[in-house]
Amino acid sequence: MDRKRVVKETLPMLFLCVLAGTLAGTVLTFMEEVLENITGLIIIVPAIIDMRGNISSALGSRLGSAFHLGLLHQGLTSKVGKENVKGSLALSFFTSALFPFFLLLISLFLPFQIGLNDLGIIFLISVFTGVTAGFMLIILTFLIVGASMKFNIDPDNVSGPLLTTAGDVLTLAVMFGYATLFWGVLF
Amino acid sequence: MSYNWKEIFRESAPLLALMGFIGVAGGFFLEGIEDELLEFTVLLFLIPIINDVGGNLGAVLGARLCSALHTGKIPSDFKDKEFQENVWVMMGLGLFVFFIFGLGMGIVSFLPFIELTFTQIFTIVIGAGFITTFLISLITALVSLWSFKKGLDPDNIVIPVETTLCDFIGVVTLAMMVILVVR
Repeated sequence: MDRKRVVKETLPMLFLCVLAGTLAGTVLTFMEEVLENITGLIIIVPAIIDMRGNISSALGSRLGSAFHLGLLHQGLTSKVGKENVKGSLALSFFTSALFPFFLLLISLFLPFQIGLNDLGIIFLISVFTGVTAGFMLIILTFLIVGASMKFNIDPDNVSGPLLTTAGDVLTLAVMFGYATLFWGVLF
Repeated sequence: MSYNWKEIFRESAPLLALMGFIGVAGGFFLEGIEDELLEFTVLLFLIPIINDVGGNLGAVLGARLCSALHTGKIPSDFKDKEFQENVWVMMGLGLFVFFIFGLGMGIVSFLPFIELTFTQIFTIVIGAGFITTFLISLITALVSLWSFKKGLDPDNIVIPVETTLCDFIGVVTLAMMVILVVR
């Protein structure tokens, strides 16, 4: 195992993600007004962000394995790539549609009321954000794995941190866009 | 090894649903202890960063172990030297990053609205960071091995489990360190 390579390739990514984490926090402060207007949205924000990170890092991890197995010699747009994209897209849609139901389910056990209007708008925001940000992150995953292969970097060392970090900022920005849009149109 | 989107979905969907549920429940939990969190502004800065760094360490370790297990480069044996080396290097990286991060966040203590001293913040970050690094590396290694032995694709399993647990471990260790250091 090449220790130097792991340290050299992973360490900068970890510091980068500390910086970007701060940036994500800043985007969140911009969302304060929308978050106050839609009861319950703030509770599923971390879950939505994490799920994007989970789906795209797992995609990155699978593509990393495929690369090491020599399955990507035909390029990323081969069948291996396509099946992986379909899988990730299906998972993005499925999990985003589930969140509002989890929210409803858990709120039943707590002294915490979420109105049907709020729940409906949260459903729209969750699904649209999940699919849009999910799609953008799939493209980003391919770019990262492709660039790693080109520049002779082990994709396993960089894809996880880069994706979760970019995912946080991207997902929050997309969610902010949809939340503002739906709030403006429906109310 | 071949990839089929239905298989990826079938292996991942139940697990992601469970992790999502834990994530939403965790959101309620955080909302419940909001007052305690807001008492120390610095905690609000620390939580996302410790969760991110811990989650990323696990993600890199997980991705590396998954590739190595798939290619047969390392055997699915916890006692294997190469396997252990992967875990040690990741723990070392974590300790280093949290040391630097502890120094950096310590400097924040000189801001007027931060109520903790340099030493207090440094101790909180180092303590929580080290415990999180250790636990996450261990969990990632165990889950990789277990899922691979079960005949599942560890790539689908390790990262979701590890990041979800890391969010929980990060918040609990931070809260623990704050209680130890401040109270």
